[in-house]
Amino acid sequence: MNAEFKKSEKICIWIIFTVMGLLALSIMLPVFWAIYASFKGRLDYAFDPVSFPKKMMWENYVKIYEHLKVSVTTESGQKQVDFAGMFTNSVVYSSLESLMSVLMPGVLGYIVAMYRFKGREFIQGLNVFIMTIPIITSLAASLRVLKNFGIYDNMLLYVFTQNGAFGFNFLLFYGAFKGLSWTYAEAAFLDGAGHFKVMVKIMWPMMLPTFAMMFVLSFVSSWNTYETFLIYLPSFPNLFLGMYYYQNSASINYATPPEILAGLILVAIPSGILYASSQKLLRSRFIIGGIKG
Amino acid sequence: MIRNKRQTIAKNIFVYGMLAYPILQFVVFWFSKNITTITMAFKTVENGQEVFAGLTNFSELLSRFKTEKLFQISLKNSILNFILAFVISVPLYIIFSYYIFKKCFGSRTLQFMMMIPKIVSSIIMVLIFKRVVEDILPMLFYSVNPEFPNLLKDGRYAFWTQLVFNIWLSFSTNILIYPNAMNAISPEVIESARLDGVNMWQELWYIIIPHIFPTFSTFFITNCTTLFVSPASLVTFYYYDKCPPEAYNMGYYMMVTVMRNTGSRAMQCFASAGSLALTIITVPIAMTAKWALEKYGPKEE
Repeated sequence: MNAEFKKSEKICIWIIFTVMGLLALSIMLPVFWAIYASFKGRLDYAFDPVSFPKKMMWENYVKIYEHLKVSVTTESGQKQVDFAGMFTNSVVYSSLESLMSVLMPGVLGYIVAMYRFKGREFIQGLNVFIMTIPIITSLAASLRVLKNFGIYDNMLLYVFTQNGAFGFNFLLFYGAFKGLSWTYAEAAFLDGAGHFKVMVKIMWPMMLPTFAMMFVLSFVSSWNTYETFLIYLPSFPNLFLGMYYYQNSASINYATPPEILAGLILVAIPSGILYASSQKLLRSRFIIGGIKG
Repeated sequence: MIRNKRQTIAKNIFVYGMLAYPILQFVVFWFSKNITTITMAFKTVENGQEVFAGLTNFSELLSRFKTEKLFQISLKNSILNFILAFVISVPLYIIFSYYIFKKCFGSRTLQFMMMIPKIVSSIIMVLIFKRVVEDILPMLFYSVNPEFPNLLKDGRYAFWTQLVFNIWLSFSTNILIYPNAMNAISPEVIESARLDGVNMWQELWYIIIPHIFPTFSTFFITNCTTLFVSPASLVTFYYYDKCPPEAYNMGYYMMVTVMRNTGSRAMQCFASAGSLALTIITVPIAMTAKWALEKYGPKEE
C-alpha cells in the first residue's frame, strides 16, 4: 500500500481495491471460463457448463477451422470464403486500415502543430466542429455514397478513402507534436534537408512510440470489427464476420457452444498477443486533451 | 530576399501538398454523405423514382413519435442509457483511475484485467455474457428459482441487462485514458498539497479533477453527439430481428429500419429524415454541454 496515505484513507483505498478487484474478476472469470469451456464436449457442456472439461476436446478447434466458411455473392456468382480466406482479409484490412488511421492524422497533426499557414485556425476549428456537432450521416446515405463512388464492397478503395484525418487521432497527434522542439528541424534545414525529409526522417521518428501506440490500437480494433464487413464489405468477410454468422446460425449448422467459444478464441489470438505485448506503450502514450474553440 | 521567397514557396508547396489529400477526403466524403442525408430526408419514392416530398418523412416521424410504442421506447431507452451510464460509470472511472495513478497495491494487474474487453472483440464478450446469462445463471439459481428467466430475452429485464453489460465493458478504455491524463500532473504540485495537509479526497477534488477535466469534457461532449446514433451492443446480441422491443434504442431502431429494408428506397429516405431530426435534437444538447463544461467546470490554477 502506498505510504503517503493516512490510516483513515487506507480504509478507503482498500474499499476501492475490493470493488476494482471484484469488477476485474467479473471480467477475467468469464474469459477464463470461455477458454476452458472451449475444450468441452457437447454432452459435457450440456450437463455442466461450469466445471472443467472431463476430456480435452482439441477437435473443437480443428472443427471450427474446417467448418468456418462464409458464402458470398460476387459478380461471377456464389463463392465460399474459408478460414484462410477470412484470415487473409483480416490481415490485409487491419494492416492497411491501421496504417491509414495513423498516417492521415499523423500528417495533419504534424502540419497544423508545426507550421504557420493560412487556414491553420480553420482546420483546428473544423476539428472542433466535427467532434462536437453530431455526424448526421444516415447509414442509408453512407451506403448510397459508397455505391455511387464504387467503394462499396471494394476493400482497398474502402480503406484508402474512408479513414479521415480528423477527430480524436488528430487531437492526439497534434498534442504530441506540439510538445516537440522545432530546433531539430531547423538544424536539419541548415544541413540542406527539405520539409518532407525533415518530417519523415527527423520529426516522425521522435514520435515513433505514439505512432506505434496508435497503430496497435487501430490494428486491434480493425481486427476485432465485423460491422464494417457486414454493412460495407460483404464479399470480403473477415474472421469475426465469419464467427458472427457462425454463432447466429449455430442451430442450423449444429455448432455446439464449446465449438463457438473455440472459434472466437482462435480468431482473437493475433490481436490479443499484439495488445498484451504493447501494454507499456499504451500506459504511457494514450493522452487526449480538451477540445476548446 | 530571393532565397527567403524560395523557402516560403517550398514551405507552402509542402504544407498544402500534405494537406491536400486529408482535406479532399473530408470534403468529398464527409460532405457528400451529409448532403445526401439531407436531400434524401426530403424525398420519397413514387413509381420507382425519387421525388421531392417536402416534410412527408418528418410528419411520418412525428406520427411514429406520437403513436408508435417502439419508437417511444427507443427514444426513452437512449436517454435513460446515457444518463444512467454517466451517473454510475464516471465516478467509478475517476476513482479507479486515481487508484491506478497512485500505483496502489495490484493496480497494474487490475488495470490489465479490466482492459481485457479492449483486447478481445465485442462479439466474444457478448457471447461469453450470453452463455453466462443463459447457461450459468439459471444453473446457479436453480435451487432458488427453477424457472429463472432469460435476462436477455425477457422484455422485463432485457434493457437493464444491456445496461449492465455496457457499463461492465466501458471501463477498459477509460481506465487507460484517465490515469494517463493524471500522470501529466506535476508531482511537486501533489507533494506540496500533501505537505499542506490535504487528504485524499481533497487532492482528488481540487487537484486531480480540474487537471483531467479537459479529457473528461472531450469524452462527455462526444458521447452527447452519439446519444441517438449508437446502437450499443444490440446488433451483436440480437442481429436485426431478435431484440425484445423493450430493449430497443434509437441507434438500433434506425439501423434496423435501414438494414431490414435495403431494397426499399422509401424507407431509406425515411431513415435519413430520422437521422436529420435526431441531429437537430442532439446539436443543442452537445453545444449546451460544451458551453456549460467550459463555463462552470473546474479550472486549473
